[in-house]
Amino acid sequence: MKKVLILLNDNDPLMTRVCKNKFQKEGGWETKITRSYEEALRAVRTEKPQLVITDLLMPDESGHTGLDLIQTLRADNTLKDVVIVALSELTHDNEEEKALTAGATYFYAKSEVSIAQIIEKIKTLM
Amino acid sequence: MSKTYTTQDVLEFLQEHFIMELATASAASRPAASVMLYATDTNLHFYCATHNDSYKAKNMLDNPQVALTVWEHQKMMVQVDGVAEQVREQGKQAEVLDMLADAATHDTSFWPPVFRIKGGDYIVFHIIPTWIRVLDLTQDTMRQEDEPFTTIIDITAL
Repeated sequence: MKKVLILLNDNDPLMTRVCKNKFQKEGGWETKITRSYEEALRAVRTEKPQLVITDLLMPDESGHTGLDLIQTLRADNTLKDVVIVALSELTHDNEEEKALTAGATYFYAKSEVSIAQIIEKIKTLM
Repeated sequence: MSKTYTTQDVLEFLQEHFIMELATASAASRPAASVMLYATDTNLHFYCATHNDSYKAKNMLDNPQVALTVWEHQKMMVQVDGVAEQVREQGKQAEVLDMLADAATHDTSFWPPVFRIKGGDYIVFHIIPTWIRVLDLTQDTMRQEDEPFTTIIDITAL
């Protein structure tokens, strides 16, 4: 069976740990955690994950956000097959439309989705 | 006859569970009850994390006296009084977050409510128990002359 690698880009130190544990336990999937645009971009290019889950906002020191990460990944032809799930704490301000327009495959508001739903979605993609 | 519990019994029970009801109080003694993810170490010390702008965080910083319970129907209830202190060292904070993430993984669908609430950065607490007692809930009835509680730790009298 092919190894599944998920890149999880979020600066919540507890949420990312819980996701990593649950992804391993429920799906046997490995998780690489990153906490900034630059770190995530470098990891996607070197480690080639099948799935990227990124917070939509989370600006880093350079001002880049998760939305910028999605746009950059989609502009790279070598990464066009990567599935991108965007997560946001906001359900207003056209966040979903912005994420999908930028190239996210799916969008979830953190306040409205459970880890079980995310895991079920990943299972349908792998 | 009520069952008498050992420290090891309590430790195993606490490590099987991951949710506690935590009571804190403000500097003005206004109480607040919270349901929280917890982890324990082998010394029966408790650890938890919350947003640094939450009421319970402010309460524990202003007034470190706390009480908590962990229970399971027809098994046992653990009651704890203790003192909360903030974990400031980054390496220890990371260790506690790892412990909490492990605890949160006990149940497949558990998703800590704190993830659904927008808040500040996490603040991590270590709760040192001063008193722990355990109530036997394995029996449906209890004779009045029985002592249903087992005291595990009591340093309040020192």
